[in-house]
Amino acid sequence: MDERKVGSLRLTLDFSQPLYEQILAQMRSLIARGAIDVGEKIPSVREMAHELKINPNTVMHAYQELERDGLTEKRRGQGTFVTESVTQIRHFKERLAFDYSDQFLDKMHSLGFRWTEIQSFLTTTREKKGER
Amino acid sequence: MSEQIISAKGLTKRYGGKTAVENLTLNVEKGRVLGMLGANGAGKSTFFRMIVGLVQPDDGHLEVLGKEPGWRTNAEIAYLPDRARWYGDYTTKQSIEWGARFLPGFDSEEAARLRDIMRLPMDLKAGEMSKGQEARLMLILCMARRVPLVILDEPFSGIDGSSREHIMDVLIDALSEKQQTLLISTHEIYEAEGLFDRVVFLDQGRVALSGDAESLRGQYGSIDALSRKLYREGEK
Amino acid sequence: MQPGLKSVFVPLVRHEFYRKRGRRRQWMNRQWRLTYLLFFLMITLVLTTYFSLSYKIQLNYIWYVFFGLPWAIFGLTISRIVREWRGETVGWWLTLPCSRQTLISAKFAASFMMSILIALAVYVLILLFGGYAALISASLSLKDFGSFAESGLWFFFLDICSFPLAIAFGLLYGTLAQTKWRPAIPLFWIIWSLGWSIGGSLGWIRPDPSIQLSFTMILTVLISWTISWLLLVLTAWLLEKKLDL
Repeated sequence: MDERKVGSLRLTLDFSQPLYEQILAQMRSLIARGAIDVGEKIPSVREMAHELKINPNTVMHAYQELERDGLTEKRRGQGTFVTESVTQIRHFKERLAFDYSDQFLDKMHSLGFRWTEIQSFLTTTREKKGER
Repeated sequence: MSEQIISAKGLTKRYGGKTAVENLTLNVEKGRVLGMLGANGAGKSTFFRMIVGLVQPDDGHLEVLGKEPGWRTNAEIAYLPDRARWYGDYTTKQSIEWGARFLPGFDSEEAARLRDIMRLPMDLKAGEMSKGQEARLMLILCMARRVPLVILDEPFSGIDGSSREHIMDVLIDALSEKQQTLLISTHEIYEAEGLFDRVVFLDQGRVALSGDAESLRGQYGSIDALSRKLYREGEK
Repeated sequence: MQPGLKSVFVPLVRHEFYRKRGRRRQWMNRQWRLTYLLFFLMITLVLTTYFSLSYKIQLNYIWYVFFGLPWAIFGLTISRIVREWRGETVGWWLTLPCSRQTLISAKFAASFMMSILIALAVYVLILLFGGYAALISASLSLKDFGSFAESGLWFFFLDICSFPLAIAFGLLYGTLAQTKWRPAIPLFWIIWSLGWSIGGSLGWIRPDPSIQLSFTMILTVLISWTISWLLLVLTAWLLEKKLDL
């Protein structure tokens, strides 16, 4: 695992996993939790490829996906920026949150837990991990 | 769907009793970065030499940029020969002029830019350069060309770490700006791991494994680890 | 930006012409080379002076140096091919987008120009030496020196006529060693020496003090040039089809 800095961002790259997915997932969460501000410029494909030492096409594919998510937008001649629209980011976060919850519930249900049990699991886990 | 830059069918080349390339079938599409991996003598260099017309296959069919390989197709190929050196009495400046004169598609401005990145003194003769400097000079001669196909045979071998980084930078630049197809053979996979989008493992002249780099990663882990594993199996 | 094929030949010849020995470090620096030069010059001077004063020198025999020159040119031309391999530049040379015929012709042209320069230098050096000998010798007159210079010019001319063949053979020989036709090298030597003995018996490489153009001589030269051209074609073909890399 390699931690690399791209501008002010920190990305971790693990060459034993598909790179495209790693970049996409990390950029999504950086934008979603506000580590990159609304309307802020994100590193160019070229810069990202240089810092990560990877094929620019891989970065480009991840960036295209971010655009499809509605998280970023290209401005002609200026680069790619995080969307100005807070609602869009919130929508994306909510969509992702639904996905994660859905997956989580599916897994718990497949183990045969009921909602009350699941709730108590969540409470205990949160207490163990400490509030974040 | 996409354009075939190289199409090889059943290529075979023997040296005396030894088979260098055996029944090699391989297609390379436009815009790909293909890593040719494999131990010494696996047939990587022989395959590259067939593409540039230095070696004639004994058997099989090879098409490069839609044509039969030969000196005419070399106008559209930038080729870094393996274990190559540069003409010792040429300075950096003279070498770049040489490139502009003899190599079709050579972009002198791009060469000047690359020279800045590579930090090569203009008036240093190749004969007085370190191995890393000389390798960087030769890479400039390849990468300053606007041609559809670039073939680099072991561009990283025997070169110091900082030269390697320079070379990686230049390769990444070329990929982001030009729609070139790149063929790279290397031992030092770790360095170039992230560069490949397709990988072909050769073993004794045959394709041992090939595929999309990302899906190979998903399946087997890093290309570097995969190649170590293949070598070990090959040795058994 | 794209160099045309025709415009490539002259620069290619220039590239071949100006290239020096290769990359091995010179083991003798400038001062030492100068020292040796002066040393040999002095010895020559002393010997010339001694022999001119004590004997009557047969100046014309000195021109026989020119009979060795084609052999030297042959050797130098072999090294032109060999150093592409030894210097590990052959991959660059043979992947230039020019036909093998163009590549080998450029080496031929550069070698020919270089050999004329060498012959000229040899001529001038011997002339200086002869002039000095004539000056201090009692038995040699200015007229003797005049005919000496003239016969030298004749040898010089003969040499230049013979260079194309020597160069073409050199290029072929250097190339043979890098191709699948390597086993043909002994055959090469047989043909080469046969050629020289036939050429010798025909008279144009025999010491011939009569300064005359004869029909057979012109014919021999023309034949030798034709053979040179055929050898170049053969060499280009070998580089194209029979390379053993």
